[in-house]
Amino acid sequence: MRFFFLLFFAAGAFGADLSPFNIAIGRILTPETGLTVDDEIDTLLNQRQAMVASFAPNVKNAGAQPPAQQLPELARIADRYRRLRNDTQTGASSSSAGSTSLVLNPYLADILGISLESGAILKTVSGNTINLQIKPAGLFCATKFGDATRALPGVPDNAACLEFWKRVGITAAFDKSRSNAPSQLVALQDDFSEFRVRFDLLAPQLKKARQALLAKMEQQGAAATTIGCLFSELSGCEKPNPQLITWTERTKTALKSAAAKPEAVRKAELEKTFGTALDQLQKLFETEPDLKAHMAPLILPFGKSYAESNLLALKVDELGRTSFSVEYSLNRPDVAKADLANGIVTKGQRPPDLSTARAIYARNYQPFVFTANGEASWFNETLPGMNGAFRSWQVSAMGTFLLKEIPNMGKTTLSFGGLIGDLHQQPLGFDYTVPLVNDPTKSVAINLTGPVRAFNARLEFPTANKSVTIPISFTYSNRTDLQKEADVRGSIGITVRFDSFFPTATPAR
Amino acid sequence: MTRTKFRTYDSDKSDYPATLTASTSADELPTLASVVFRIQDVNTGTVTSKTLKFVDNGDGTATLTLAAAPDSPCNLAFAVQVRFPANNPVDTPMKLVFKGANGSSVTDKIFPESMPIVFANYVVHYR
Repeated sequence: MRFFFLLFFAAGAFGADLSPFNIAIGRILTPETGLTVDDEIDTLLNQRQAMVASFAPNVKNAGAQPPAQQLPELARIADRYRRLRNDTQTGASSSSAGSTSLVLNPYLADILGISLESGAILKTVSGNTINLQIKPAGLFCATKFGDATRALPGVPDNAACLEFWKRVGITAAFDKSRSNAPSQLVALQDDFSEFRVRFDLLAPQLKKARQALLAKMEQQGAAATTIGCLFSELSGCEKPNPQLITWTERTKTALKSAAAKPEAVRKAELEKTFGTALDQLQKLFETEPDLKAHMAPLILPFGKSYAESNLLALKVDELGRTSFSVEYSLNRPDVAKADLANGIVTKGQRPPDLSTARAIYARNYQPFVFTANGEASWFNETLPGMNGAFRSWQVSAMGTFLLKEIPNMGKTTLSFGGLIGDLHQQPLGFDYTVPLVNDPTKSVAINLTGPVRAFNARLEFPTANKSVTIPISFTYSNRTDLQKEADVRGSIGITVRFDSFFPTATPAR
Repeated sequence: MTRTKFRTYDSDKSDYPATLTASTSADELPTLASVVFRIQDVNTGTVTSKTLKFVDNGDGTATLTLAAAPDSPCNLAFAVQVRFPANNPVDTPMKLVFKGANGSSVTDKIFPESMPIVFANYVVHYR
């Protein structure tokens, strides 16, 4: 008794770090459904490895290598982990074309998706576009094994299926019944207009990070069991420690007493009680001979390993929320309604195809997602009158806020995006002509090169448990591709992800 | 397999082979490391170790199997090490079902905590 009395007064000097236990303490205040305050106190006191790891950085000169003072702070880890929470991924992609969003979303359907979008953003001529998204490896794996979860990237090794090829996504766009707006080009009915191939660059890093995390967890498993059984009354340890058993009993009694205090002071009392108990625990490990013997070989290395493994876990989460992919797209322009530019392109022909190389980055900062695109485009053919093959560059960024979740539907998202770019030469590669207003029989060439600026606001409504989303967007742009006049436009679309239509193996939950 | 107190269980020969099956109602099963068992013979006091892995069942669950009953009465102490992804809701635990070959079973829940990696310490008395 005297020993614990002395410890109580000595304890204040340490200042225990309670951050690893904030949630557990919160559960004592408000137990989970079906659990009692006693259960929650037992759960807190069962976190023996976290308790000893929480004081490891405070221990000085215990002979551990590297010095304990260099250990990462658990509080910072807990804070980073907390900031990663409150979420799910953005889920459904609405973004197979630029017709409702300025910035391409990095998340394609894992198996199959389709979207129909109406209303252009940077095209002069509005119309309807059907976009088909497919991940061929995802489709193959889902159908071969009759399990849609096999289509997901990063599945465990024993469920792996074409993991490399799952990084490849393909999108094809088809123009559907465009209007007869004043343009020198016209789309044919159901005409193929764009083909995109995307490749995910970060998947191998995520896999490596997961492997490193698992290796680290395996490495500390033996030490964790040893620490756990030091506290056990009747355990598989050679020498359970009576001081720790007594500490556990006393701490449990003290926490019960704190939990019974009036509501206004209950939280503060619990924190104070547990903080004092952790300080006492540290003191025990520093002074009690049997426990002190564990300090250098077991507790301090474990404290370091515990912090490192938690940092690796954060890295896995952060990589899982970061996407970086590269994309090649082939755009096929519409058909000329009449001879263009003195017959360089004759009626019924198409101007040269356009290739675009694009980098797509996204980072999920729950509940905010940042997405950025950078792209450059060039003509696949240089015709007379064209100023080389390079056509344009664009940089765009979008911030998406995940709004409140609608039960059984998903989260509504609100996005704001901006785009800047420059048309290095005429949109079609050669001079573009328009009829004179005062004499429609004559035409004049206009210069359409120059900067492009646009701002877009976009609201996406989920339905059917995120399988179907409806994006609506409004865009201001300083120009469109064939007109140098500012414009404000509205667009609407619907995107269906067929991933959830594929069967999944029934989990035994 | 019967629960005697918090994360402490009694077992006998009819429980083996016994299984520990982890499952979740969250989107993703948490990462589970191999489990190191410390086995103390209650007659001799000798302590031995054994490491067993959770095997992914491919259906959102993973199972660890204790294939054979220990040779003599003993205490098994072990720590289950779980990494909860950040998108695992705080109020959605990982369920751990201890199931004996005789059909008995006990269930425990491991909740996400303030740190990504959570340890749950168990003792099984085999008599």
